[in-house]
Amino acid sequence: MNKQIATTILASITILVIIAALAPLISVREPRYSELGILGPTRTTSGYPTIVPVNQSFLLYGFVKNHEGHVEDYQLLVKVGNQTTLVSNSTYANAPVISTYWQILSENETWTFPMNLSLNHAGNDTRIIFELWSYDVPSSSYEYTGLWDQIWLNVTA
Amino acid sequence: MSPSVLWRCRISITLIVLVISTTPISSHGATGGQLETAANSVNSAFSSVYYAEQNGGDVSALVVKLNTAIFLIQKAQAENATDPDAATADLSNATTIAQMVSLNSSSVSTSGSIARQLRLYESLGTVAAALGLAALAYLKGDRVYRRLWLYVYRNHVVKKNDE
Repeated sequence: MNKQIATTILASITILVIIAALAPLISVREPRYSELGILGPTRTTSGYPTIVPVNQSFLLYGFVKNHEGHVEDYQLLVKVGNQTTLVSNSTYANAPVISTYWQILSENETWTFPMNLSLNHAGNDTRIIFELWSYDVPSSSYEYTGLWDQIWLNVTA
Repeated sequence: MSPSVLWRCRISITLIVLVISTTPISSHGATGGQLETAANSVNSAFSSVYYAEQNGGDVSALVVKLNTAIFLIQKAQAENATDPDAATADLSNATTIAQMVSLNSSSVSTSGSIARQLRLYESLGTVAAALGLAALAYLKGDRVYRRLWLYVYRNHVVKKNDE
């Protein structure tokens, strides 16, 4: 075998071995995010209630998934608003909280949970707002993730 | 004792008596204070778990325990109106679990750091070994190959084709 070819093969094998050895130490920057979803009573994205009697409970499911690259402490706040309630990815709703759901999730872990909700005020175009908050360790407080969802209801007397 | 010191003592005693008399006597059921203590313990434990994971520790078992503490807090909130004693017991258990998680997370963090360091040394060792072997092969490869060839063919008899 030609000496030059042998040297090239040797160098290639050495480089491959070095890359394989160092690969576990190199952290890959993947996009980090959380997922929030609200599911109907059959745990699907259908069958959401539109009309509910006052003070009568109805079932929904919450869905949260952690892709933040580390363990997360989540709280899902359920608020009652109306047509004028402002909520966006940067502003949480200034509305009363009717229920709170709390769970700590490891990376890539999913949390699906039932929510038995009821409303004690009748009215058309009532908004149930779902906001996802997570615990910020440096500031030792819960911060709004910017993820929110809503369903519109007519609450009958 | 001077009159001003006496006067200050009297004011201090009056203030202490006032504070004692206005402090509510703790009720038998779970209070907001207990709930807050339990929730703060969980959040504090979560911070420890977070840093343990950042140091490379496997925190999955600690997360399961913390979720048990959260479940107990939520159970206590639900049963506080009907069974305050059970609610108090649940909050107490939740606080204990959270405190245990905080304690355990430091050992998880340490073992994570050690494991991470070992992985680093393992990788650097492999790189050093690969470079050493490659250098050896480059410098002494020919000689080793020739010696090996001679060893393998030491009993080989070369014969003429027409023999």
